[in-house]
Amino acid sequence: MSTTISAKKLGKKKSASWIERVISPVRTLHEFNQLATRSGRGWWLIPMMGTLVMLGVLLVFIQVIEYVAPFVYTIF
Amino acid sequence: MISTDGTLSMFVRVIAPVVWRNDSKVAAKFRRFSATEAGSALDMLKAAELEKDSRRRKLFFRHALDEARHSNYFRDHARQIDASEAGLNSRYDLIHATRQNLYQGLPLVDFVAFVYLAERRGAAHFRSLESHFKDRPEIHDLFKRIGKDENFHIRYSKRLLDEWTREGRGSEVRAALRRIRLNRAWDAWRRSGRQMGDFVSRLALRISYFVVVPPFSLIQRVLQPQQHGGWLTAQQTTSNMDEMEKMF
Amino acid sequence: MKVIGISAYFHDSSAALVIDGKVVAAAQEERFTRIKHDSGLPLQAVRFCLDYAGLTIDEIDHIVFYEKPLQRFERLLVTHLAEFPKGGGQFVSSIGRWLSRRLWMKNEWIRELGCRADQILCSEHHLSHAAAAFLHSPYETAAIVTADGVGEWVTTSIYRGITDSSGSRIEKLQELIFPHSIGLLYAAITAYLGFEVNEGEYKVMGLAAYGTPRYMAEFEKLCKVNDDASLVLDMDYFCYNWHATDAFTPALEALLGPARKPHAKLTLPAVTDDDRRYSDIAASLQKFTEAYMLKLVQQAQKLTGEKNLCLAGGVALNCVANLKLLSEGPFESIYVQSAAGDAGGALGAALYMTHVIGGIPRRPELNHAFLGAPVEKSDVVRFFSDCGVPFREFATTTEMCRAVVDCLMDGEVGGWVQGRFEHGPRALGGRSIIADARQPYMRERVNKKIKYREEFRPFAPACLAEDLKKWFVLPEGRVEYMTPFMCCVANVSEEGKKVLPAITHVDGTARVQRVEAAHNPVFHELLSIFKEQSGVGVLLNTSFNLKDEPICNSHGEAFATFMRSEMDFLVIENCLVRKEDCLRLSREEYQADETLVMAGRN
Repeated sequence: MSTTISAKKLGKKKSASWIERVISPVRTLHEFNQLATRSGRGWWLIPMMGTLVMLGVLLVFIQVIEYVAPFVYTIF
Repeated sequence: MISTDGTLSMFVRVIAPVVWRNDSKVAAKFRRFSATEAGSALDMLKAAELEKDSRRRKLFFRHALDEARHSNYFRDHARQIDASEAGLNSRYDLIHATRQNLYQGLPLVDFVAFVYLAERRGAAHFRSLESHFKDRPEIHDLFKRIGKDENFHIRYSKRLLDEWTREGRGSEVRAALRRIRLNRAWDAWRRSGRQMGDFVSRLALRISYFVVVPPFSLIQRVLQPQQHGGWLTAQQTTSNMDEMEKMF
Repeated sequence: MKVIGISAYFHDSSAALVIDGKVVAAAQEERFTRIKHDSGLPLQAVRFCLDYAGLTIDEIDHIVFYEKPLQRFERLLVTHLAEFPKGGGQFVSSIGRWLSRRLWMKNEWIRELGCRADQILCSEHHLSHAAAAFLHSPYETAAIVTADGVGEWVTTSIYRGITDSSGSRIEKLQELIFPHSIGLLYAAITAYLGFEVNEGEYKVMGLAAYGTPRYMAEFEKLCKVNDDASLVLDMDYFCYNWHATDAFTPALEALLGPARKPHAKLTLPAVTDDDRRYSDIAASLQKFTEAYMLKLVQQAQKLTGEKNLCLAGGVALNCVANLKLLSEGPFESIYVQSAAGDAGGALGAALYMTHVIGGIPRRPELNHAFLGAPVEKSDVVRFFSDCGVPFREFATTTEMCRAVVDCLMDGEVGGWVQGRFEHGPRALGGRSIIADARQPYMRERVNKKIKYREEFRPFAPACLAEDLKKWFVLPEGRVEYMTPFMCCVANVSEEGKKVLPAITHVDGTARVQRVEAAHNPVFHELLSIFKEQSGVGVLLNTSFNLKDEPICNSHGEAFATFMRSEMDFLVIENCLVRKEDCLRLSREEYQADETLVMAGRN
């Protein structure tokens, strides 16, 4: 068996459908809520997580900066 | 229109007196060149390993050997010029190089186009430096020797591209050259954007650390004092499919 | 059932493929990307596994991640809340990574692997370690001890593994949680001694042999160990739980003296006070760790009543401690899987899904570690022929081994590439550098001119299984499951110390590999032929890589490593290349006729 890596065997690289892209993070957050309540480590992690997720959305947009670099100064 | 390689040569000539101002800087630059050449050698050797066409394999292998030899030249010259920065085993300093996995990441035509453009750019750079160091024969000769090999790399990669053009794949070759040129510019653009984005992200997170975290920290300290170690009797989790499906 | 296990995002990403209970392939990502300790999603390792089995990702039933990411994220949040206002730096780097990428792991996998969301499952970190050890072991029942830095929350745990007529199960018994961790204590002192964490622990083990454990009282201040083997670290001395880059506080330096600067010169045996202090601290750390691990396994025996023990987690790679457990511990037999660190988590996750959740019966037996990508003989011959590399191809393996032995007898050092590469950090004769262990100068030569590493680092021997007792002293009857994978050191016998100086460490031990014909036929044949000529069935065996690089994978990488060092010969399958024949390749005179090269004839 050759050591050549064959890209086609992996499965077609695909973008997750928009439904999956929305559902997956929401499911992740829901699971985190379950964890925070189940583990007994603190219900307060839930609102903190919510705030951080909103920040995370901002960070994801900020990552877009690498595509619009020279225009950053006009935005901020 | 002045080509980008010509622009690069001009730029290099202008800043050379600053960048290469003393032996310590020269040695440091040579060490960086050595690492770059060693990385190229690893990439070309991987291309030679994976390439199925016998002739192209031979060319990539020859290219890899040249790059490895250049790496050694730069390393040895760096040591001669400035032996003060001794490594662990100074005589046996290993130049740490990384591979970019270009051959695996690009279609064949794009890969050869990349090689052609990169070698042309490198040759232009080294020609400028050869000229800058005309008063230092040992460095002047070094760049001259390397330049000979670079010219061979340009010739063979150009020849491969021309052969594909003659075979009727001219549009593919032109598209590959365009893509590589654009990718280079796009990568530079993204690199600067990434640095800025990284800075802004860190700033935003730093601010949020002092704004978002304190009230929750206070709640936690009041409602849940820290545990002090010791065994916990473990609860069995993840013992069925439902549990395996969860990320917690 | 076809299951892929994946470990990623922390260090040593890897992938493993298990089909109907059989481990088909496993590999670390670093072997493909050439980035040491690569922590990214192991795309190339997954591709290799699928390629090797002739499958596509759609044909895989389950893709199991080796831990619960949300639990790990919870730990980060809780720790930051507890440590506020310290830890801003760590908050920025770690939470940023999680918010932008790691929390949305499933989307990344769907995009990069081309899999479906319903294929993705998550095991637990320490459970994956435990599964990798027990379910790959030759035991039907065993106590399982896992100890590493930290997983989600757990740092140390005790399990019981059972395989009977109703199937396999792994029962969790006790666990210790962050920040109290023997693995993190070892890592923090590794950093204090100026070595890189997750890389330098082996160096600390080697350094320990040069020192005297004079700092035990200080270590008892750092870490309180109770009779039940629970431990509590005094966090005044450590800051790995909140600092972005440092593992220890100035209080540790006040206690032990100034930390060693990374890459500072270290002469051994020690000549300066500082060097003496560093080696004594390393010795104290090693002794403390050994004593703790002994207590831990005694606790495991008390809880489980088992006679077999499986060890897993990064601390299980401490082969010096493992000898102590073998000699003084309560278990009759101990097994450590070849990839006991995080790389083995992928295999464990896949095995857990297969045998415990999936109910596929397992057959307890001693498995080999050669699970990586093979080298095709035809590819090698074509590569060397096309590239004009002078080489000799042998018709049989025996002829090849004889030629290699001739080189070794002349005092030469060579690269040895055979078959599939090993799973885990050890070279076991798949991708090795070999030399004559009888030559006293060999250790210095290989360290300086080939591996480019610190002079005090010892080398390990590979020994014929039938000769093990002649050259090494090991606890009777307990070592058959440790020594094939170089998981414990052995005392070198008196005769061995005279005859094998290159592999005898300063404390008289060696991390021996027992080579069996059944699992490693070609390497066994080489050792046998070497024994015919020299009377000694032992060779120096070290991993085929240069400093700060992963072990080589393919024939091209082996050739590159060979040319960049001062090795004398290279053997890949049945092809032998000699350095003296390749010298002209490095010289400028090797032009060949340019026209011929461009026309394709040479």
